[in-house]
Amino acid sequence: MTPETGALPAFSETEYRRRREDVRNAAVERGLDAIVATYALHAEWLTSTWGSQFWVAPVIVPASGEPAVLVRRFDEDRVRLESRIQRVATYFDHDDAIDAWAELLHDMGLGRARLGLELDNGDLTHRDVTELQARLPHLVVEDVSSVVPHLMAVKSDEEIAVMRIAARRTRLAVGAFKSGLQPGATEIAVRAAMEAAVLADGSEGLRGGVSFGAGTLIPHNSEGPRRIAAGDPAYIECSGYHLGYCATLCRSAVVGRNRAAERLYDVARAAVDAIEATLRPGTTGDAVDAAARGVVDRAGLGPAFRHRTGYSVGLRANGRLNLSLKPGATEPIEAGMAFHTPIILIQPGVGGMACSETFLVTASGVECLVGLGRELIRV
Amino acid sequence: MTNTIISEPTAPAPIPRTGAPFPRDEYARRREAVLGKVAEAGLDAIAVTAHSHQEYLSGYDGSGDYFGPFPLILAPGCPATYVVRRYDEDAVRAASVIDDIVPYTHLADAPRVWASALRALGLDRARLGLELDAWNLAPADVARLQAELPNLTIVDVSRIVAQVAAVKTPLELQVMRRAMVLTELAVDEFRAGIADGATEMEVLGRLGAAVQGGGGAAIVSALLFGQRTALPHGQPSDHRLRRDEPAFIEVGAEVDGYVTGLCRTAILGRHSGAEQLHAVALDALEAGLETIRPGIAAGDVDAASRTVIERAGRASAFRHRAGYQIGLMWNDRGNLSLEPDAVDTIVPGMTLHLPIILFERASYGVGVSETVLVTADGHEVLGRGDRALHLVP
Repeated sequence: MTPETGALPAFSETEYRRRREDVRNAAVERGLDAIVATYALHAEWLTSTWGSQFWVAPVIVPASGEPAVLVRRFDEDRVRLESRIQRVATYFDHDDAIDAWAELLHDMGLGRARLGLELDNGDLTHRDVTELQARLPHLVVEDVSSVVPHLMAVKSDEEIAVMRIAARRTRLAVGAFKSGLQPGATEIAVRAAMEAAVLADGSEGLRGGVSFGAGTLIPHNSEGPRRIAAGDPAYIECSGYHLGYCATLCRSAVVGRNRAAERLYDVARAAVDAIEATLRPGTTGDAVDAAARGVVDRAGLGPAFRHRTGYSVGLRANGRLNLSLKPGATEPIEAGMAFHTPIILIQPGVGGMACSETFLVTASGVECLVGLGRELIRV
Repeated sequence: MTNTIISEPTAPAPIPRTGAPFPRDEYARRREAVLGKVAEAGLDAIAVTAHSHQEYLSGYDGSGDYFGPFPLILAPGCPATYVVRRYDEDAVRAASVIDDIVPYTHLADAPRVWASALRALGLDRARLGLELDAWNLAPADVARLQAELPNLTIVDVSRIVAQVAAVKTPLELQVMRRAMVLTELAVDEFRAGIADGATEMEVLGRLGAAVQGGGGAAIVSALLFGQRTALPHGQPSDHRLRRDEPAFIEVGAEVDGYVTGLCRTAILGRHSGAEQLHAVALDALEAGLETIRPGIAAGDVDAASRTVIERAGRASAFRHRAGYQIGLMWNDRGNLSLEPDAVDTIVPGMTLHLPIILFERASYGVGVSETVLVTADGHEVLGRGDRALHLVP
């Protein structure tokens, strides 16, 4: 008898096979014998589960032969039930993790391999790499940090269907935000109402947050007992989830009138309009960023815009080295990619205002997955 | 013609509901203690990048650094200097006690900005300690910094901050005692929720609300009913509890970033296998607890618990170490570990979590734990210590 795992009802086996094949092909193209994903988000994308919290949990995809995962022994039984990669090796603790990793590579015929590692991600440490090389001195290590993020950027039909459900939940969250903006409401209470709305539709939770008044000045604000008052700006960056996937949206509101904040929002919205007009297959992240940044700069608000224009969204919304719409990004945009494009403008003395879309790149342009109007919410 | 006096713009008032949880001198003492160990290691400076370590030394939790590392540079005689993403700069100012903040805008700028901050502090030829075996610093970050500053000597100091943070100050203990009150509240709700047909999610809902109502946040490492107790780190689902089944929870409550943890087991009706296994876990925990006093080695605690389990013939049920340092964050890579052969010395003021979780493969699992404070002559169990198996008729 198999325990009900409680794992997310994951994608089809075909989908996971495609992902493994994509990574395998990337290894072959680069002349590598294997690619090892160590970033937890990438491991989840490949296996549908997660390995270990405190030490390295590599997923090894060889150019030929079966892939394998290495996890802490404590987590083994759960990983065996939930993982779409069947070969599971284990270690006890930090001290023997690298020994076990070296042994597994050796058993897979990869002891002298050209190995792709995710060297530009903090889920693999400098020490992990040097210790592994000390045990397998003939290993040749190459950095493949951008391989999985690029594969994850282009969504399959199954993933797009899942993101549409997440987008529906995002609409519910925005609706709860609008109706919760009553005088005296706190950030915490409004977030709770938004969360309740998405949970009632089956979401695993609510991503993102709510900022009122002075809280809008704090980047990545955590909700507190701040109460909304007349003249206050407010904004949300939020998403519902489905199977761990997001479709995120930023929207802003003003209670009564606040001309400076309203102007800030007009600029943010115009920048999102410019993204919509620019984002299509064949363009680059640099060009899209320039379009948005140009709008903000021409409005004289350059210093208020402190971040990139967007990033690839899907599983868990974000991760280091995911595809970015930012200055200098030259990778061509492809159909099937999805981007969240938050334009968050923060002006001391005024507050912060934000507008965004989750854009799905189509054959000829973009589709707004959440599908809500961009007008300022007035209370 | 008269001169108009234009006053300097006054600094804006602090943003409401922000600020570090502890006074500035508490953080200053922590940084001094870390610099003491940096000097002992023969180094000129340390750049701290692990999240829990940043929070311990600055008040800011490091969470903005999914984009790239936020090094906090400490050196004797230098102001503590934080290199952060420009987008998060105001959040770091609001949450931390650090005044010297050097921002970068795009990820590609980070190594250059980090290097120029070190140069400005006269540390570009220093012996610099980096946390090379902790999360949040990628191997490529290290290589890029070294390329920017070829005369820098980089040394691994992954354990220094964890060693200082292992020993709690009186202010930290106050917060942890509050966290334990809320952790026990969560256990009370778990026990009260044990009923035929109750779902794991329902129990999660009631304990989450209770802890939030008390001013904390519940962290659930596992909350499982029936056969699902066999899942390590299993998360709650809509699965229902039935008569003569076990229920298991590993839960913590967080207050100001500090966590205490408890594992507890309940049975609705009777389940002889789970009851016998729980008796072994309880004996193992108590054997481990009895060893805890200043001067013993971390590995001694593991050995005491492990021996009990082996003598009961259940070695294969025990798949993990006997405990670890707990406090700021539930756990972090590089923390003190009560594992086989660990030689670190236990000293007064340390707080430890000792979970004993035993599995009958694919059938059921049970567990029991305590969070303890090491005292001058032994230890104190934080909380009530009501660790007996909870039987609901």
